[in-house]
Amino acid sequence: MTNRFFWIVASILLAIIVHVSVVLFAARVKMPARFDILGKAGSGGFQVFTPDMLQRFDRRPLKHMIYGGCLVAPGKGRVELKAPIEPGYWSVTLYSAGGDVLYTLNDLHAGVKAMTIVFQLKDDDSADAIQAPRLRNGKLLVPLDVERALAVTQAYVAHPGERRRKLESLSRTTCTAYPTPLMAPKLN
Amino acid sequence: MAGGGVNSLVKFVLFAFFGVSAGYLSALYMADGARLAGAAHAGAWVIWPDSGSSAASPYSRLHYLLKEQLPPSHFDRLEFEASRDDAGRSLVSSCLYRLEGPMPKMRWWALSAYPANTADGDAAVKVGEISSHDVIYEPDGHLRISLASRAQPGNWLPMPAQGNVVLVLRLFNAGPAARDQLHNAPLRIIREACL
Repeated sequence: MTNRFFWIVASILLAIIVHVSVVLFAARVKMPARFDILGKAGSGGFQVFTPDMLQRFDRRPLKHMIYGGCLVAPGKGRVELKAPIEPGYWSVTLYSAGGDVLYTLNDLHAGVKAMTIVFQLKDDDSADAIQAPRLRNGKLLVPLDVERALAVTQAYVAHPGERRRKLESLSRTTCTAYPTPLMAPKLN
Repeated sequence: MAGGGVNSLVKFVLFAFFGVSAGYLSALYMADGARLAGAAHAGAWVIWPDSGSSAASPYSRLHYLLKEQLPPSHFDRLEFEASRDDAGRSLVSSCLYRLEGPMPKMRWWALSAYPANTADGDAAVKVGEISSHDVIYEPDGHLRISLASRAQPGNWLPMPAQGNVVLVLRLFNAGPAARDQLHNAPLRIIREACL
């Protein structure tokens, strides 16, 4: 009886461990492939998604939406995303390696025809550190507390006639990395 | 002695099989839209209300990643999903459905019909889609859409030609009223006929 009780309890414990592992670590299995797709261009390097790329990014995309993105690695220095915003729906969403949404902005909230977003690492030691997104000199500064993230932009093509224009506009989006210079060692 | 060893081995195999299966399947069940996991149900529709926010349930993230989707941002859009009609039957491409109801207030919406199997390599090609830019509303402000694999008069959402279907309704920049009424089905899903 004691022996049977042991196996039942052990099975339940194993089930709990597997359950929690699936919930917590699924993103560690599912997200790296997406980072690899954009990572080939390094930090920065905006790419408009081809149908094949999109298929690997999202199996349920909107048919009339066009997508693009870049790898953002604020751990290596700030990244500037410059995007022209055509009339109609447009958004940028930042995803962490764990599959969490870190930041989202759409055209309605941007309210401008072109947007520059600067993604930078939160630097708590700096007197100039910002803790929340804010506008400075016409640029939106977004502090992040992750080393790497994916910036995915979307633009809706309401009618086939505007597809070409929207694609051209999306392809003019740039993602530029500004690596942090290495600190020179202090001489005593 | 040997019999005892075999007995222990059988118990270990059963233990491992039960533990791994129960753990994995229970995670899939929760991520499929269980209320206990944080999903809200509105008629045949399921929504993860806090998806993409810091308050999001970990099952909401798992739900989207298992479907090979990037989780939507709650800030930007509300995403309803339905794989069954209002009577609880699976949505299949061989049937004709009527979707109707008053859509909540939002900036714009898009309704897509995907093959249920996201492992299908051509899933993105087979999607049917209709949006607020394409439809005509009834005089009373309600929306009426035919969901079928063959062309229908009026508002028509094409379905994939074969297999089970999943509907995804995305509401962009939904107002506070829509967010307060997540438990009201945005559209009823009524099966009208099957081949």
